[in-house]
Amino acid sequence: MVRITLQEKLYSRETVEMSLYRIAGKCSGEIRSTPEGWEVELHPLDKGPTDEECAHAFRTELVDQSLREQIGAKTEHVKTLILSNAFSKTTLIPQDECASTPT
Amino acid sequence: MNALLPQLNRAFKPVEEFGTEGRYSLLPFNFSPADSQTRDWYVVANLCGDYAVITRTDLERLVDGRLDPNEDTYRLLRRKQILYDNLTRCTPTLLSAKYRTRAQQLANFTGLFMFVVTLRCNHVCPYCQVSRVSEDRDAFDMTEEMASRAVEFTFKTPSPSVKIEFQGGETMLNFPLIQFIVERAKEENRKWNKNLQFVIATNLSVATGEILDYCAEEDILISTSLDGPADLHNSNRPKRGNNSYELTIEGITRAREKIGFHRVGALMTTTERSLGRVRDIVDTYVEHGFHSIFLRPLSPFGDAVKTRAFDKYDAQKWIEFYKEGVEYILEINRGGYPLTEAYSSIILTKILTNQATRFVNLQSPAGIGIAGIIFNYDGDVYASDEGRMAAERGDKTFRLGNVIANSYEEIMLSDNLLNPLVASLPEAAPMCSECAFLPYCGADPDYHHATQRDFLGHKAFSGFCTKNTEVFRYLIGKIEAGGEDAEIMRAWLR
Repeated sequence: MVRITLQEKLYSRETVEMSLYRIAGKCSGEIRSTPEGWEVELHPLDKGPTDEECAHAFRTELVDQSLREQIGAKTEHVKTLILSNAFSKTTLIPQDECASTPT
Repeated sequence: MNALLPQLNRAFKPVEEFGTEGRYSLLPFNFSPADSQTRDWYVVANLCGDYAVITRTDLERLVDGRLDPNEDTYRLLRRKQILYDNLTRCTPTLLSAKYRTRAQQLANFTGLFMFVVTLRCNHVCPYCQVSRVSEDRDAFDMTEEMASRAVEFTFKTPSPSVKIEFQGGETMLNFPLIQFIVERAKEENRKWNKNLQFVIATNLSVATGEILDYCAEEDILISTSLDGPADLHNSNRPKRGNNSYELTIEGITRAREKIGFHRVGALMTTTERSLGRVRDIVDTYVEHGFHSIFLRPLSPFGDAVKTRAFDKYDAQKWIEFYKEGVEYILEINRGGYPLTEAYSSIILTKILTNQATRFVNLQSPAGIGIAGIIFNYDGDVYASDEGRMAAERGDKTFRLGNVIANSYEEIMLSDNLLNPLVASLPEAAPMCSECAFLPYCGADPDYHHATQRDFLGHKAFSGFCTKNTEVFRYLIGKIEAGGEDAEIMRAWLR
């Protein structure tokens, strides 16, 4: 078993949970909110990786998940625009504008 | 002359409007490691599957807004519609149009209708996913009444193209019913004028001259099973007399003579015995003049589960088998013999074009029911071939109703269809929704139900996910490496 503490202001609960979900084939985990931040307890599966390998896999996923969260936040608006336009036969979006100016 | 200038000025925006000034916006995209072992290179792909392979550092710079408009990576990502700037302000609108194009076949709804005309069979294959019964039991034949109702059901689809595929058992043991269905379907189609196609899946062992003449007259395609060289085929497909291979090859030859060389196709099934013999299998296809081979994995259904044939090799072993096979197929192509690997062809079409494919197992929403549907020999309707295989083992999760007892609306709005479709949608699933390969992949609720008792399935434990992710990585790697192999693979696009 290995325990990792993360600052809550750096990682959302969703990011931590998704990271655990992604490495479920290697280890199981638990998340607790403590005064120091998120405390994550990792348990390698039987005949699975070592504690260190589990911790490495978790940290790697955590960084990727954090990046995914940033991309999601930055593209949410344009994604909604693209999908609504894709399935719409209306002319809600003025054709001369084509799309919003990059911000 | 001067009087025209204000009008011209209104027609053109100021020069500064066209500069990028280092400002760009991200378009929605997902990323995944480009190989399973390292995190140095990543595949980034937008909603429509336009992709680029970039370094980890560039991925972070991209997200942080630190890419320079003058660098190659910036231009690559702009061209691939991962980012847009003042020069490419129409990109979101273009992506909408592309997304709509990719999704348009959903509106056509079901195009493939499989009729199990009999469950009787003259083979006793241990991996058989249909759980055949002996060939002398008439209780396992579809009746004309069921067939007629199934034909009426078929033509309720809005799809302009309808493919009727005859499945078994050994279909030709009930050939009179095939003739009945072909005639009923053609009669019904006079009202609808759809593009109607027939395929018979058969081992060809009982295909008489009269049967093949009928297929030729009615423009029916033949799909048979060829698992590899004689020893492998006969051990995979045991039959009294141990002559399944000889009968198949003889049947292929006669069928080609009667109905046309390219109207006879073959499919192989991978078993534990096949592993390590992919070159022999490919050689058999070349020897008999085929220009396409489908390196299929064994599915976890029917007798494949009962005999544990499915468990005998895992996803990784199939991936090694598949990669070795594709490398050998490329070598054969380089030698001048055109040969396509069918699974790669389907996936490359998804990766490199904006064209949707009709391959049922790589659809989102899942292809069950809405891409293909199956009428069993007893009139029961299933969402997929795999669903009816599971039913033969007592699991009727994917039974949608009965063609005699239920209406089209009752069957197509059945909870047994809608629940797995909703529960398995990849765009809303953990791991899938953030995977770079999402636009090329799909949902397979019957696979995940069979292996995890869950329509969605946890992808960290999913053989479906492992196999497909590795295939996507491998094919993208081959295309990115360029050269003759990439050119050959581009010729495989559908």
